[in-house]
Amino acid sequence: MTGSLFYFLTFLTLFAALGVVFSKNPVYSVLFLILTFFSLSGHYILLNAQFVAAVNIIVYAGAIMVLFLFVIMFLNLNMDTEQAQKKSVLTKVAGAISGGLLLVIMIAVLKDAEVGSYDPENFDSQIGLVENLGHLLFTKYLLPFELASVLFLVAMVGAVMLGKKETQQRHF
Amino acid sequence: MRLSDLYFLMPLLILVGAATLNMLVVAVKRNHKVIFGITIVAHLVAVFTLLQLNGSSYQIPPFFVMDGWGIFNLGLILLTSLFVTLLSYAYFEQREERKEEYYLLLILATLGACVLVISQHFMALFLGLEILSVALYSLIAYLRTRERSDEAGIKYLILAALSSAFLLFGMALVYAVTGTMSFPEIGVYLQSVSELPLLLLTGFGLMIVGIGFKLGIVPFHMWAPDVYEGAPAPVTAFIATVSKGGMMGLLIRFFSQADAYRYANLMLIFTIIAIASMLAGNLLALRQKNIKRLLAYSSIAHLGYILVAFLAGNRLGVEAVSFYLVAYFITSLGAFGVVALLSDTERDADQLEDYRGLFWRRPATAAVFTAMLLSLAGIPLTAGFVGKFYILASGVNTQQWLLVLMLVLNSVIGLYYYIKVIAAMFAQTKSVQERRKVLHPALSFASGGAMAILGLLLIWIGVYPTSLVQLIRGLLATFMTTF
Amino acid sequence: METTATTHLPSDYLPILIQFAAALGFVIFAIVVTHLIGPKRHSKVKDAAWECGVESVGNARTPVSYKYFMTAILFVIFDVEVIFLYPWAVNFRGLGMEGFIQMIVFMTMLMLGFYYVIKKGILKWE
Repeated sequence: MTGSLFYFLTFLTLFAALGVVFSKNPVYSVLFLILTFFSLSGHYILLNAQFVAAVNIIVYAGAIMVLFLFVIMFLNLNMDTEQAQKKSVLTKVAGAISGGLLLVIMIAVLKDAEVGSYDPENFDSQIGLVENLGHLLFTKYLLPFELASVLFLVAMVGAVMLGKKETQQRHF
Repeated sequence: MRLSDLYFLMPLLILVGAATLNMLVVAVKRNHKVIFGITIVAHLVAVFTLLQLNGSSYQIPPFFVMDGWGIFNLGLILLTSLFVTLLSYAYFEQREERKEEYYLLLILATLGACVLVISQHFMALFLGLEILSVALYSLIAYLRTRERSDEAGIKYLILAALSSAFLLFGMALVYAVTGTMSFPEIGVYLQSVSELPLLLLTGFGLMIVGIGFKLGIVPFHMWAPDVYEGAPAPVTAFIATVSKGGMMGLLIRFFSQADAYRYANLMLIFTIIAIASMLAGNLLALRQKNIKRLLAYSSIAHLGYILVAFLAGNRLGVEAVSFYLVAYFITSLGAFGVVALLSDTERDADQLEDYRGLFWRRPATAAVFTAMLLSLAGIPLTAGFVGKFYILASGVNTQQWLLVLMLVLNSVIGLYYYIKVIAAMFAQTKSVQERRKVLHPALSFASGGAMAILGLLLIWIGVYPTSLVQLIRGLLATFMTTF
Repeated sequence: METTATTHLPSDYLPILIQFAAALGFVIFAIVVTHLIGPKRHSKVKDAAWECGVESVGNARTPVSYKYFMTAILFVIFDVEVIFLYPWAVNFRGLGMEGFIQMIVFMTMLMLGFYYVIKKGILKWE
């Protein structure tokens, strides 16, 4: 049951991720991206990391996707400008080569890699639950947690600084 | 988390406190002078608390380590940031736009670099890097009305985000193999395996993309000229020094703690990067007419030089890197400081034409700029010469003849374009016209004073390097005891 | 595998999954069936974008105000902050006073940022 669910979710993730890249319409890309996030959340649940799954849906599929949609609305996506912005063939070839190289390397590496040491005897299936996660976050990983608040502060000030209307400047 | 941790993190806490204080002051009432004062005082207090920590070696497991290398880098970053602040006042006072957030973002960017150099764990590393990057995104695009600032900001944003993604992917692969994210434990794992697993090598390779981007070395250097050109001159000085120096500090810590020097593959990658950086940086600078772009290519080449010392992988190499970083920081600050001094309200003084006949108009500024350029070129009696000599010594010491050869060859190439700028400054111009409005002398006092100090430091280290060498040796005593 | 009250396993989510499937199934069923059994009438007026409203003029793809975006960015930041609160709240008793102070420090940083944002008038809509 879990095995087949895993393969189904993997197929769905890959399909949706490819859809993001290959869609001509950016709105479809965003919708595919949402599907990708949901299927990734499914993976997290399979790993028994429910908190991460919920966060993934709330933050990524919820909040970040709204930002994506706003960005798309900022863009000028009329038909005539779309036509003018055709990528040159050279760009496509270069992208395919560099992406393909990474793919080849990853296949070569993962083909016979020994990943992780999983010990079924001592394995704690409850490690990804919110209590254990919270306990770790507020004891061992406290410093990064407080640093994250500084990171939020930088993002806030930076966004306000760049985004705020100047007196003599016209935004749209 | 113990209470003594707070004592050792005091310089960082002061920076956070100053940033929040600045933010509150900006929220209540904007005042350029007050914010400038707070920023200066915060830097001085942070340096003072750092001096108290001198000679200690303290671990905050698993994230931070406060050893000699960390304290050296913290001091370097804090002092550099102090000089950038001093240079910024006159520069931003001339401009109409809001000036106060600049200091706030500058402090936080400095904090990010400080976290970077004392981290020994991927999580602290990444948070420090992101704080630095996010602050830099807004700093680069700070003067929004400028023609090229948006372009520079967007370019840096996209490329930095992409390189962070590579870095994260690399970290994930390293974690998948070793099962740990702290540098010493990765070192322990590496001791236990006879050869580097392929997956780990790929992880390191992907991490090099992220690290290389921040260092601005070939082939991850494409952003440098555009960003240098579009960013305000003091921010350019910050990117050229603090951002790159912080990453260099981290790289050396990672390699020495994980003991990754013994892998020929990794060393080969860095050798190729070093040679390509030196060659590309110097050759692309040759025909450059824009001073900021020229300095960008020159900094690519200089990071290549630093990598030569890094590749030595022994104590002498780290000493050489430290010394060269100090010399390069002073020189870059001085050079960009001159650019900032000469800039007017519309644009930065970045064309070669702006410098033609400078000596006859402003002899003192031209003299400082000449000294800085000579130091970049590595002419004797300047800090740059001693630094380059140190690097050569470390290269010869480990018999890296190819790198040494490239270093000498590139120094000769580099001489050409530095001399070209100097020649332009001494050229006679027909009509000597002062087109800029001269600022109130008290306003430019901070800039002028900072420039004078930088010039004196440059000559002092160039003539009498022993004191700096001894300082570095003393600090490094608590770092790399294994070598 | 045996599930007790203290072990949480992915298979415990089966009821939720079934409910999702039921909800989705009903929606698809309703859409498909209404299309199949409903009458279809086409005309130029009926197929217009707003059938009974003002005649549509101009292009729908006009850029929106940046203020929406600013609000959305701030929303994301505070959204993530709230998420950090959740694992803290679950462990509130276990962490004790120390955990309380840690969270106060975290919240203070963000509240100071919030004060700055309000003072700068980002949330004001004119």
